[in-house]
Amino acid sequence: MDNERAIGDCVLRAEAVRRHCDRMENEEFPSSEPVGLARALAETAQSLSEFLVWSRNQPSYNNKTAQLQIRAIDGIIKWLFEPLRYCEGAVTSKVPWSLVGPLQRLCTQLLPHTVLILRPKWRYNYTVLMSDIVTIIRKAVAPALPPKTLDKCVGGLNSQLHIVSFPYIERRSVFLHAALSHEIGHLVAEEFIRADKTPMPKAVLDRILQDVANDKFIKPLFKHAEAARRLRECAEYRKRAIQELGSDLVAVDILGFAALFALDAIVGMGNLDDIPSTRNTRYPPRRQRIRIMLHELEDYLPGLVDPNGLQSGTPKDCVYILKAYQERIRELEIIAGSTTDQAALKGDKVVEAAYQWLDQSLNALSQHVRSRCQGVSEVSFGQGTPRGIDFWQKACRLAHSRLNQGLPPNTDDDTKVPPAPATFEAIMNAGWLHLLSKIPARPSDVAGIASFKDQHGRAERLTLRALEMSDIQLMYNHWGGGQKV
Amino acid sequence: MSVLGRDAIHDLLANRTLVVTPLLQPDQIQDASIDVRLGNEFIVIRKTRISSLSFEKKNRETFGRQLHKYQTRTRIEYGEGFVLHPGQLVLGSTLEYIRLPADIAAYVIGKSSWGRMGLIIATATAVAPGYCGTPTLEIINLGEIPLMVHPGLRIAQLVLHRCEGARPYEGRYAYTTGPGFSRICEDPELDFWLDPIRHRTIQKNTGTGIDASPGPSPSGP
Repeated sequence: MDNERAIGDCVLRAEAVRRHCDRMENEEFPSSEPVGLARALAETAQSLSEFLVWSRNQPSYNNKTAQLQIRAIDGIIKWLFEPLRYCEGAVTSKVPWSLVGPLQRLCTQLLPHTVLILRPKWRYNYTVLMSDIVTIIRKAVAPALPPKTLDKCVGGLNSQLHIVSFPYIERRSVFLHAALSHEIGHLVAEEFIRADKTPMPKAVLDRILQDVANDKFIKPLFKHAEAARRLRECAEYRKRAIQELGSDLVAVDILGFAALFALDAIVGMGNLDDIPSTRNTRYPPRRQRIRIMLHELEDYLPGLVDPNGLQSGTPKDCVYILKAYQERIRELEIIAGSTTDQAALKGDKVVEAAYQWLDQSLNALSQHVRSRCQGVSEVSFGQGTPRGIDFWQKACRLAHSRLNQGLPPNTDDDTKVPPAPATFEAIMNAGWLHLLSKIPARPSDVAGIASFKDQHGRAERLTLRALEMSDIQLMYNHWGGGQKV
Repeated sequence: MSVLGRDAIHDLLANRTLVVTPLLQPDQIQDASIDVRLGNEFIVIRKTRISSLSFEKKNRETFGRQLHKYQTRTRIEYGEGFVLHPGQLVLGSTLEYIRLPADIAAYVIGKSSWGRMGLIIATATAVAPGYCGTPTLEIINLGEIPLMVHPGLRIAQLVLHRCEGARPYEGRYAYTTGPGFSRICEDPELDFWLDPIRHRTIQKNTGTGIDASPGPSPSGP
């Protein structure tokens, strides 16, 4: 294709990006970020196409050298269309919109300059795009556009923007969305990884080298290359474990047991002792994740997993909640109590070495997470304070006197005007307590399916409603609500 | 039945038998009513999708589908306005989630300040005793110019009165958290009233008088 036609095509493609963006602006979104991103993408595409036309008309234009430039810019314009799918997915009708505001607030508390776009994905997985999308756009476009023009295009996006995805099939499953705290946690775990300068322990290094040296199937010529590959693999396994376990720690530190239950429910019937491999994107064994989260709950929220502590702290009329909760915790403790995952890790020498190295970093990881989460949510008010029991009592009251009564748990006391809003974390945990204590795990029989669905649907609706109401109450109270106006 | 006044409403709220949540301002409790605010979810009519709404004989499900084609759910952010054009009907709901005691019924009526601008707030006004949810408001602009309403504004009022011998509401509109689509097609009598002649034929043929199709309850016609 000649350059003239290629420039024309670029102009038309940039126009297609703009048209799509215009359509986005007419959609309804639960936050302003998706439209902001769409606008930035459209303006960037437009500027790139205008730049091409301008270059073509310069006296210094060289048909031969311009070909490379046109091809590069055409590639960027085509690429700029791709992130529009994030915006398209973030429309109100496709996301649990009541959750967007409270989730953003929680994220801002933890990472002040970070905004999220929540969108569904068809694949069953919760994910976060680790790279800030604004930086990605800037990097991609920087070689092609003058800095001032680029600033004009993406200047409206002045925070780090991350795309968080949830499985579309679970749109209304608000209780599972407690797992979104794990996705936010990835951003905190990444901070730890960036700052981590821990060298590979000599014992781990020697062990890997020794294994390669002793391996008779590796020809001497390839020993060095194989040793290098295994060392890289070892570092990668450890890094992935830090990412996942660190995110789990953040999740329970800011959302408490709701995060633990949600993360366990999402994995569902998966094998508890699956060792990390490239096949499962190097996920740590599920059993280990449960063990670490339980340990964090015990340690960070004193008394929350201890039956005696809770026994004395549970409101009298909520004993049935305590019973159901303890039953679930006991099940998880039985899972965590077994060490079959550690035995399984020994099945792969590189993985075993990586986890040996990981063990030496877990304390530092936990300290980093705790220092980052302290004060972020009601759960993470501070180590050593009796917040565990306080929080438990609040969640029990919201579950018992609100959700169980068919009321949204947006506050635990309506007699105050305006009522004090319940926090995101209290609502999510109350939802889980209600789910465990009042809703059967499965329909009793086929005739009971309708009632089972109805109970779940009602609990989800009321919880989502509470999230939105508490958000409004909070804003209203900040404005000065309660004063006679 | 007498209408409940301010003190009676306060008593019910204090002992938590009546719940209006969130009640953002004390002065929402009026002398004989409670002011309620407009929620941010609406069901709007898509006039261009179907020619008319009509029950089709022998197939009530078609009507249900028709209704969803005719109406669509939309949500706006707090702070945004919702424009109601003259003659336009939209379904909204109260921002407040309400639970009435088993012996209290309510009427939803418009606020006169909106009424004077032509805005009619509710056409189906009765709220059953024991109701729990966000009452759906049928909102029509009867004025001559478009009106912009904002979620959160006080748009209607609940008038409460005692009701003797009632049972707690467990109807099809319970525990809603936004405006609900009409569920008229779930009316068990529809089968009969859409085609009474057919039922006479069945009666003649079987001699039982019992319809072969599911629908009317044993106490039905």
